[in-house]
Amino acid sequence: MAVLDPNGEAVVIRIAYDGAPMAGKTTSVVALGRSLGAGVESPAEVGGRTLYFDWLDYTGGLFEGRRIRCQVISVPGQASLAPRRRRLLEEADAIVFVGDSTPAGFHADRSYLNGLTRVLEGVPGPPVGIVLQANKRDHADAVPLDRIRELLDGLGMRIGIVESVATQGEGVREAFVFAVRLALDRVRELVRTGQIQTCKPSANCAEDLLNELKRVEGGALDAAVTPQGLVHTRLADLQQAPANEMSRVFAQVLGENDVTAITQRNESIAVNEAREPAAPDATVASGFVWPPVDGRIILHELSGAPVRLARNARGDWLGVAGGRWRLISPADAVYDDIEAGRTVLVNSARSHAARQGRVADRCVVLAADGAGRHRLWNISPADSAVTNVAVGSDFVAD
Amino acid sequence: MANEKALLDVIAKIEGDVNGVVATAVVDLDSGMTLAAKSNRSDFDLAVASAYNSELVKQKMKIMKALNLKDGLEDMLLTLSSQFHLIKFLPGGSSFLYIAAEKAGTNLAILRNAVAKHLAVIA
Repeated sequence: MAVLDPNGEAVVIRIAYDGAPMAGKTTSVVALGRSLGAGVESPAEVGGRTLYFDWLDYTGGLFEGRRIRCQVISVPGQASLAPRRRRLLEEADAIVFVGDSTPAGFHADRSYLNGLTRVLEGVPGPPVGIVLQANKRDHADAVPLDRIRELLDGLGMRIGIVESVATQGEGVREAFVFAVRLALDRVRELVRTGQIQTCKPSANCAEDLLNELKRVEGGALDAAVTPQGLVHTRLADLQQAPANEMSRVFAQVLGENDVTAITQRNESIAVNEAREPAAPDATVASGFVWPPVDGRIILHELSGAPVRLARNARGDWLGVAGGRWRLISPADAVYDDIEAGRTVLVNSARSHAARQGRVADRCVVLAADGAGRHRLWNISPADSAVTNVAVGSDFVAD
Repeated sequence: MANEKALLDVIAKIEGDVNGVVATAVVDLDSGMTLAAKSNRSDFDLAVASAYNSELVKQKMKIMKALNLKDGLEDMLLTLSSQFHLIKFLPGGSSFLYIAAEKAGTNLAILRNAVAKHLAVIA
């Protein structure tokens, strides 16, 4: 339930993404994170086993002079995890119900909407608003909107419908803003009736919520997770390829500062970049540098300094800026689509931050390469880098 | 509420007609959340600007109500020493376009004309 954070001068609301399995809940949350420039994390996978929820934290907008902090979660859709789904829904201030518009998925929507209605009936306080995000509208056989409205009428539900194609990010942000408005309506009513609390939210991050769920469940749902079943999350599916690539990038910049990590990679990477890419500078936009504040300071310092770039035999770009900063960009860390690059940057940054905390003297940046693409750069202090670069026999000076 | 993609298209068209655009957003009036946003300057926090401008609009509406003005609010213009900030309502009145542009790059007539022309597309 919403609370007024006494320290942050914010109102904290929770938006839950509900729906049948495979309707597009996680895809929607990931697309939303991309649109808002915020990362999504999934605290599932304790030993690669369980699935709990996806988590996105975003602060934006204003409610009566307070910033609006949105805790966005998606609930597990599997029937075996229904108690967990129920607990997560009970804490929400608004629901985005992701409906599957395909004929097969539409059938499941009915039972899940029914279940949702029953859960929300038991929630105390003002009503919890629902937005139906009719997903997969790009399917040729998508169920007409009239039939969806008939379904809602039949269930006695009066809720707004927003069409979406979550895989392309279409309609996702509107559904979210719509849900925020509904949540704020509820908050207004909570304030009016004196039911809102001024306190820290019960869960301040994904880890808090995970611990809360584990404590409440007491392992009761462990049996529902079979070794053959929930071995990984949908989020992991969406992020697997870039995450693997980026973990290597992050290991280089945030780990041991060892250029040899690059040189040990697959040597079959094509060296096909004829011209020198543009180096990152202070013009890199918000959301494309991590950590955001310290990284921005590094970029500011780096800007205007002479940058000398060269390429090694594997096609990785390396260089030193102003004698103070080392820049490395692996050969394949280049993206035609800026959003694809940003997704890699954001998701990996968050997961790394969760593991190792704050790093103030280095950063990772996604910057235009001057040839219409975007390249990920690792920037770290040059003193250790100079040594490594000098030692690397395959570092080709220009 | 309009689709984010359609709104970003409108923003791109406006920027095509106006030089010196610092940032543009379409903002939900009720929550101050951005429905679409594009900033050309890394030091310009568009989410914060949008949120506080939504409060500005709400305050102006309260003033109009207090004055018992029955008129509609079409747009709001704030002139800074080096920038224009223009707020223009979208059809329906539940959201508005907020644009900040360098005075050195454009003038008020061009800015208003471009915004009106391209917002008409989503009318």
